[in-house]
Amino acid sequence: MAGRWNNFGEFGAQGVPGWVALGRELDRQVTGIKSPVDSPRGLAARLRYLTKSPAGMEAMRRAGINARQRTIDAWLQKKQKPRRANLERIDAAYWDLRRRNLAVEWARRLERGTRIEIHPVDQRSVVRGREREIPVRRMTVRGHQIWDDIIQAWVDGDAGLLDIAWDEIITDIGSDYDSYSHVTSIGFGF
Amino acid sequence: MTENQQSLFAAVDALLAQPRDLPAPAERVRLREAAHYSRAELAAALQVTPGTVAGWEAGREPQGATRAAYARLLDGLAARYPAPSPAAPTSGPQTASDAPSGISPVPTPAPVAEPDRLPNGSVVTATVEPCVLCARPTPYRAAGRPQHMGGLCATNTGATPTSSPAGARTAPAPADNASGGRPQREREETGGLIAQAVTQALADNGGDVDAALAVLVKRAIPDAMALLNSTRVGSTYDFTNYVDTDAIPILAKPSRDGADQIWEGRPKWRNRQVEAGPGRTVAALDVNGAYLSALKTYLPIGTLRHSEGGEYDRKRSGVYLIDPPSWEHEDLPNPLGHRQTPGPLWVTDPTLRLLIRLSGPKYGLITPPVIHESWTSGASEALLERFRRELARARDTAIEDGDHITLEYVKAMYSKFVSTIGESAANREMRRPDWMHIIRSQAFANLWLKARKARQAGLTVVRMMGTDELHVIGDWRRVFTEGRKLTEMKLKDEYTVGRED
Repeated sequence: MAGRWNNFGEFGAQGVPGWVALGRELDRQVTGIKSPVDSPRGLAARLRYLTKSPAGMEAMRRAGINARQRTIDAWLQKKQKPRRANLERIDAAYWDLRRRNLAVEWARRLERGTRIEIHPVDQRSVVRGREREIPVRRMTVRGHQIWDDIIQAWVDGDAGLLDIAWDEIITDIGSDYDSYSHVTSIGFGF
Repeated sequence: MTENQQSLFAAVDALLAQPRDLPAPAERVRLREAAHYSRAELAAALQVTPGTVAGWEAGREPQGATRAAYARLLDGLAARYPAPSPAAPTSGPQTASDAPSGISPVPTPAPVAEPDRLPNGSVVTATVEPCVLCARPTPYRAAGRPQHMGGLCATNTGATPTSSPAGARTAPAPADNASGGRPQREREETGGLIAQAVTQALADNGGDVDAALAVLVKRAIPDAMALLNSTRVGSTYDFTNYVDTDAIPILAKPSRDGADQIWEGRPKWRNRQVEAGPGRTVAALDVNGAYLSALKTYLPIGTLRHSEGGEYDRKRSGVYLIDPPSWEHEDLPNPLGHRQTPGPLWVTDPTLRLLIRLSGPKYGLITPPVIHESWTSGASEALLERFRRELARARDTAIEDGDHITLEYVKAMYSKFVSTIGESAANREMRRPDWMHIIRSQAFANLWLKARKARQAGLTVVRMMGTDELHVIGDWRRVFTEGRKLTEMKLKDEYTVGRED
């Protein structure tokens, strides 16, 4: 993390590290099955999504579902209901796979770059005289390399890589880049 | 090719690639406009943002590879659209003699560069008279006749707008650009985007109107956003595109497709007395482009900030938690709409403005609403104003010309814009659920004011519902103009209401 803003929050500024906001913004853009997993409709939709491809089976395995193929088939045909613990794992597996699949699509769309909006830290409760002048910043982030890194880090939950990517973005701002190592939120579309 | 030749060519290429002077900013604009390209198109070709192109056209210098590409583009355009020869007097004199300013017909005077001077060297000034070149007043003299200094007519800034030639707004002279500030032309040029898109879609589909319209409607959202961005160039306020809905609890949706807590005041009202009375004929009227008109509203510029209680600040906009005032008037709908749950509710700025207005001495219909909490930001009514005007103008022209395709395209643009600027996967370029609620509420407030206007003029309001429907009994053509313009009302249907005797 860019680091001259050493004791962040010492004078009352509120915000989160830029990479956290970056991850949150990506989380916000995730779309998928809206029905909850404990509804018959939501469960059926998740199971269909997960059993359609080898990647789905892999995702279930990663989520810790050890059920045999016969059991999964029985779930699919609604002859049997998964146990509570397995329901949660199915939900986790679904969102895991969904994020991976979205990531592929997003990486493709982000090849051309996109414009991001950076909302600076909230300084309303900062000690008087210690405020900084930090405007809302808009900048276009180009280059598939950086977006590939960001999305990969987001899928893997790799905070370190996401942090490095954020540093790379804000260094483009110039001399006051460090003002944006912490932010309230980030917005972008693709 | 020999090695020698190759190295020669390489040397020439290197020379050509050297940074060199680009044409002046005004010339950059002229070339682009002569070729009928928008900034967005140019920007797409050069892989920069339209804002960057705007910057270049305002005098900033492009760098590196982009500079070379831009220079090449300008060269190509300059070859195609050479600059008008400066020797011949431009349209100034003709315009002046056309202008109804009553100046004596002077046979096309040539601009005289040097103003008349007194023997001591100071410039001659006399009574302010219309310049022989541009008809705008000037105290200076050249060759004994009133003329602006150095023939720089267009750059005179203090000209009275009334005496400027009538055509100046629609066809600004190229020199207008040099006058500093934000010239009028910037406001004019985005209108091309809509027409260009329609022409392009028709050409791509071989003139098949239905196919072209389908294509246009499909891309209405990105096109509306591009139009919005083009109208933002040079605007005073730079609004925030994305609000963090997680930080604003009342805007956060409880579930993925649940509704947030904002009450927009959608009307759904019927006049019970009339329905129980004798049979009468009702005219069902429709407001034209209700959401388009509602784009003119006070919109919060930045992210909403919370505050407890307090007075209403007209310079801010957002959402407010209020106690709904009671409504005792049976002949007019409740401005808060069809609310059945009692207790405090979150309303938007247009609804609150309407309530405050109705509680004032002029109307005196309700008690003033009490504000408990609010989420607001500094507001401006101008944020979408240029965007709205572009769309409204395209709509008006389309109606005049009977241009069905442009009309539908414009309609798709503004209606989809309003419905997707909240949290929609269909429009990721913006996330302003507050704006979406505010624009809708403004449409409902506008409709309420129309109902009130009808009631004041002696009509009986029978129903008010949705965004744009107003049903009245009586001679409504006395009150509203019938037509398809934004200020007019459209007759949708006529039916009978009441007991059949």
